[in-house]
Amino acid sequence: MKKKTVLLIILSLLLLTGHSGTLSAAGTRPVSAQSPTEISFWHSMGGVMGVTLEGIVQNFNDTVGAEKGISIKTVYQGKNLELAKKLKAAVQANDTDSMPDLTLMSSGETGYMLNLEIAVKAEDIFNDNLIGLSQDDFLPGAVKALSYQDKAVGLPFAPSSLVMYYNRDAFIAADLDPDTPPKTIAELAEVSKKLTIEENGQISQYGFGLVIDSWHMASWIGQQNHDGNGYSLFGDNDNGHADQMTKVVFDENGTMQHFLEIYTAAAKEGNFKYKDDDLVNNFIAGNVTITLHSSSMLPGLLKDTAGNFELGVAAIPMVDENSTGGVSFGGSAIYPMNLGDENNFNAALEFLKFFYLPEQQVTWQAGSGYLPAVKSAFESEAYKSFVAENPFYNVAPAQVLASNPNIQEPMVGVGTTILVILKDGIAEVLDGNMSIEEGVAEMADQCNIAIEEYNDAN
Amino acid sequence: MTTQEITDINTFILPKSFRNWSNFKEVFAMTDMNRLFINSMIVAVVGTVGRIITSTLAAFAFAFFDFKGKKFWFSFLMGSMMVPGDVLIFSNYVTVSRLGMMGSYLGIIIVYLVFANYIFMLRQHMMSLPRELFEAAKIDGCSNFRFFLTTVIPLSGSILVSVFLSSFVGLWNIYLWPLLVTNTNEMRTIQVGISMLSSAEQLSWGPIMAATLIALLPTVIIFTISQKFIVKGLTAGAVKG
Repeated sequence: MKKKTVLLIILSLLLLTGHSGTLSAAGTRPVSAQSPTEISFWHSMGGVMGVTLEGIVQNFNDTVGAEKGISIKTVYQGKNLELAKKLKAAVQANDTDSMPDLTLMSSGETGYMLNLEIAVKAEDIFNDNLIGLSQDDFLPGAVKALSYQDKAVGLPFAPSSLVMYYNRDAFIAADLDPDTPPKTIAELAEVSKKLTIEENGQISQYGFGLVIDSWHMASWIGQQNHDGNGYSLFGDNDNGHADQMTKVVFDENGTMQHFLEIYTAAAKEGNFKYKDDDLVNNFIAGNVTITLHSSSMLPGLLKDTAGNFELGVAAIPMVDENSTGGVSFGGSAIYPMNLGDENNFNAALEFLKFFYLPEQQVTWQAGSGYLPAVKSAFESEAYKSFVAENPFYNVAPAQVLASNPNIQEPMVGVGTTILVILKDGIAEVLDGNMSIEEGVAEMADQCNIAIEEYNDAN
Repeated sequence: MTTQEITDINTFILPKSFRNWSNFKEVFAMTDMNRLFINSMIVAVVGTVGRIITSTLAAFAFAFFDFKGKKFWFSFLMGSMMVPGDVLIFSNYVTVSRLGMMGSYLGIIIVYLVFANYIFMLRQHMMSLPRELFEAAKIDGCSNFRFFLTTVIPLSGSILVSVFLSSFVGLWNIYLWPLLVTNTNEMRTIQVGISMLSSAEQLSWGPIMAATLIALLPTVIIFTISQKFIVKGLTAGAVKG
C-alpha cells in the first residue's frame, strides 16, 4: 500500500512541475498573424527608472502600438552585468525564441555587440533611414561613447554625465553665495574649507567629498587642453573608439600629473573627504556638503533631500582656468534585434521612433535623470517648459552640449580593473604615501599591464 | 522608515514610528510581490522534495548495497561537489533551452534536483545504521524498497529535516539561474524582485529593506521552528556508529 502512495506522490509531483511548465511555455509562444505583434524588450532599469520606462512603454502600447497592432512587453533582466550574461547565454545556445526584439546593453559591451550579427547597429539604422533619424540628430558625444572601430554601434538610450551636487543651506550657513558655486578645483578648495566644521578636534561636516576613480578622471583628463585640440585623451586609439586600446596616455601627455598637482594641494587646503565610499548617503545626511555624481542621481536626490536641505546642482568644477569644462558620457545603448521576423523587427523600430520623440525624451529625463539623446528634444516646447519649472534638469544638458564630443571614458575590456587602479593610486598620492610622479608612473604601468594582458588573451 | 531616518548618522535600528508603511506599499506597487513569493515557494518546495527523493535513494544504495563500480560512482559524485556551480551555468542553459524548458518552473528546478552534498550527508548517516537491521529484514522477506521506507527513512528523521532546511533556504535564495531561464516578469523569483527595486545609480533603501523583510519571512519562520533539529542532524551525520 505504502509503495503505491509514494509512487503516486512522485508521479503527481512530476505532473505538477511538467504541467506548470507547459502552461507558462504557452504564454511565451509567438502569437498568430491576426493578433497584435508582440515583441519583448529587455532592460536593466530597476527602481524609479524601471517605473518610468514601463510608463513610456505602456503609453506606446496605448497609442501608437494600439493603432499599428503592436504590443511591447518589458522584461527586467537584472543589472547590466546580468543582462549581458543572459543575452550571451541565449546567443551561445542559439535560442532565438528566448532572445529579445529590443534590448538595452551597457557601453562596456559595445565591442561584443559590434560582432553580434543579430544586433542591428546604429550606423545601419542611420544609413538605411530606419527610424527617420540620422547621426547628426543625436548628441555627438553620446553616439561616440557607443562607437567602436569608428562605427556607431549602439543607439544612445540613457546618456548621463557627471554633475556637482551641493547643499545650499550649508552654503548659506557658511556665508557663501549658493548661486555662485565653485567653478574650478582651486575655488572648490576655498569653499570646502569654509564649509568644514570641526567639533572637539573632529570634523563633523566636510566641505567636498569624493572618491575619485577613472569615471571622474575621464572628465578631468578629457577637459584639459594640453595640445590645443580642446580635449585630451585617456588612452591611445582615440580612447579605444578607433581601435582596441593598447595603452593609457594620461602619463605621456602630462594630464594626470597636472591634475594631481592641483588636486592634492586643494585636498589639503579644503579638507576633502576622499576615502569614504558611501558619499551619497553622507551627502543626503548632510555630513558632506558638496559631491560629484551622475546626473541620473538627480530625481532620487531631489526626493531624498526634500525636507532635509535645499539641493543645488551645478557643472563640475574645472581642473583650472585653461580647461574646457567638458565632461564625458556614460550610459547604456538600445539595440533592435533582427531575429528573422520582419513584423517584429519593424515593431521594434516603431518603438524607437516613438521613444526619440521630444515628449518621451522629456518624460524619460524627468523620471530617470538621464539626458535626452536627440538634439531636437532640447529645442522642443516640452523640454523648455519642463526645465523652466525644474532648472536643475538643465544643468547636465547645458554642460554636455558645450562639451567636446571627444572627451570620453576609456573603452577597454578591463574598465573595472582600471577603475580600481586609479581609485587606489589617487588615494595613495593624496595620503602622501607616493609622490605625484611615482603615483602617475605606477598607475600608468598597472593600467598598461592590465590592458596588455587582456589584449593578449582576447 | 523614511529616507531621512535611514541616512541620518545618529540613526537607531528601530524606526521612530511604526505608522509609516509607505515602503511596503511601494514594493507592492513596483513588483508583483505575491506572484514572486509563490514562484519562489514552488521552486524551493518542489526542488527540495525532489532533492530529498533523489538523495535518499542514492544514499540508500551507496550505504546498503554492493554493486560493481560503487567506489567509482561515489567518488564521481563527490567529485561533482568540487565543480563550482557558476562554471556550469552556460552549459546548463544550453541543455535546458534545447529541452524546451525555458520559462517554466521545471526549467528552474531541474538543475537543482540532484545535489551531491546531501547524498554524502545521508550516506554517512545511513552507514551508521546497523547493517544487522537490513539483514534481519531481508531474512523476514522484506523487500529493499519496503525496508527503505519503513526503517531507513524513519531512522533518518533528524538528518532529513536538516537537509530539507538547508536545501529550502538555498533554493529560496537562488538568483542568477532563475533570472537566466525565465523571460517574463511573472516567472521571476522573489530575489529578482528585490533587485528590481534598485537601479545602478539610485538606491532606495526603504523599499529594498521592506522587500528583504518579506523575503526573509519564510526562512526565518522555518528556521526558528526547527532550529534544534538542524544541529542534531548535522552532528548526527558526523559521528560514525
